[in-house]
Amino acid sequence: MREVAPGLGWYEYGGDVGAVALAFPAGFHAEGAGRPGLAHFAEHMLMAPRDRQAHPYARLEERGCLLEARTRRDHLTVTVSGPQRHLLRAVETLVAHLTDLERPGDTALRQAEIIRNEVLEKTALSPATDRWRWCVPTPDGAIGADHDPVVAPALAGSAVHADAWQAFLARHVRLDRCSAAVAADPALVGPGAVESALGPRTVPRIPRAASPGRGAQGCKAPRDEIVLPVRADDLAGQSAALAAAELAAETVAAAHRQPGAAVHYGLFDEWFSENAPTVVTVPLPAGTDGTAVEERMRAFPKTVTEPGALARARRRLSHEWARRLATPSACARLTAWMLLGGRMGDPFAPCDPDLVEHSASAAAVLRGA
Amino acid sequence: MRDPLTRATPLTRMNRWGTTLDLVRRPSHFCATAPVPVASPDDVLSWLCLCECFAGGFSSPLMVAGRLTGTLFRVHLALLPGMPGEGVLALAFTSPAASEPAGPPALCRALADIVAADGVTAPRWHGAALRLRTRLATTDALPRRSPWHRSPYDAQLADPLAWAARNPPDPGSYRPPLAALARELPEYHPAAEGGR
Repeated sequence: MREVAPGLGWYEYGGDVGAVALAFPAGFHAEGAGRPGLAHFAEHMLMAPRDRQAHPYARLEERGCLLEARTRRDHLTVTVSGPQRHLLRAVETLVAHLTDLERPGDTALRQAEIIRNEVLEKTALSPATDRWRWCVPTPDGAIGADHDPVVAPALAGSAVHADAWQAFLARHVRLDRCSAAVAADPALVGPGAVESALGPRTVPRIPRAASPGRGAQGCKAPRDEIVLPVRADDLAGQSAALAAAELAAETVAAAHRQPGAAVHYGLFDEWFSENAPTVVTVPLPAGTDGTAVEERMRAFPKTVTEPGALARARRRLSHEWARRLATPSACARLTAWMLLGGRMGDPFAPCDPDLVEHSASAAAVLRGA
Repeated sequence: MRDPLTRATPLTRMNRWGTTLDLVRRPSHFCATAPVPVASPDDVLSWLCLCECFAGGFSSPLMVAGRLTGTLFRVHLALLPGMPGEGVLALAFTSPAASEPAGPPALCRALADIVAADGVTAPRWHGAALRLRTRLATTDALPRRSPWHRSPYDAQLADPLAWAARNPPDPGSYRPPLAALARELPEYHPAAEGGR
């Protein structure tokens, strides 16, 4: 994983299939406090086919390429994957689509209905069970405030943003201000050619929120869990928080006397995809003795300094990181996110014990509502 | 998690791409299944490729009916692992009240068109095979104990165009299960269940 040109990350990936990801600073954070749902709606408008012949999808699909987009707290990411020999042409097709925001007249109303159906499908027709509402912060505000970027606006009808999406995309989705990443063999897909197709760019610095992250005070979690605020935004700080959480999961497993407590990063469990402050959580399995966990967590800051503890956490995290980098599309996305967050590098190679201890000392057990 | 309307526990099955299909019939959620023979890795790839061809993207007729001209989010057509020698072809989609008058009938018409057509053209089949290879390469690894890791479900697609040339789609094989799906869909219109 390296930056081969300003704002262009490269993950060398052999095989027949490769991927290109573009990460724009157009996530929920950018939509503004009074416009929940705008980023997701803008993503749908951006990715909507531009005619009844499904341009540009039909052209990409006949060459074996797949196009997808996702909106998260801090960014909107577009990924195209497909045969490496067609990847450059796929990038050119994608660039042409992203830079021309003309869409058929009925697109906004249709996409609003599609978004509504998407939410109902993804929440299995039970939107109230979704936990995004709880953990998405109001821009520049505290986490837990009522800023729901997905569920409520979709059910209310996101077409209220029909007049705002173009200005939002024009401001936040710009090829000259994004991070790009390629997972491919440089001998098959030339970095220079990709750079030429994308044009020059600078990676924008996403503004950091002023609040120090979700704390335990006044929060009602949807379930019992351990929360570890991430105190530093850089690669070392986020890696240390993950290492501390891994050791917290070990503590939960010991209290529960069963393996299996999993670390969960941010809103969507996509490592290094969010900017600080974000959180790492360890859900407590059903039937866990919460009092026993609280008892053990009191000694937790000392536990993380025990000999071998950090090495164990690093080993497990490195294994999980390798698993998450198993596909070219994942490699491209993760590289683009790390580049956008200014955190390129091997996340768990160095792991500062002081930072891990610092994260561990801020861990709190939240009891479910 | 129980469904708040029917109080039923959803029955879900994992497809090859690691996402689950909700196979419970209930208001606003449609599903239909049909058994299909699966005896060899090529059978698995053929069904996966047909699913890709008919519902995998905007160049697929079910996706065109459901999303390009309709307002459904996604139409899932998937092969699910079944008993030895047999798989399950499943069609599932969520169509809430506003989409219901147009969505399911459009999908039934698209299924009928597929069944009535002469077959799948070579370029369309090749494109589907190429997309299938991309999807196989870009989806996350499946859980270790997934039935998809059981022979013949652990099929690989190294050369999609050569494989597509060797294994052209057989209308005689895919017409009956697709026709069965088309017949099954309207039979349990949600209104008949009194759900809303």
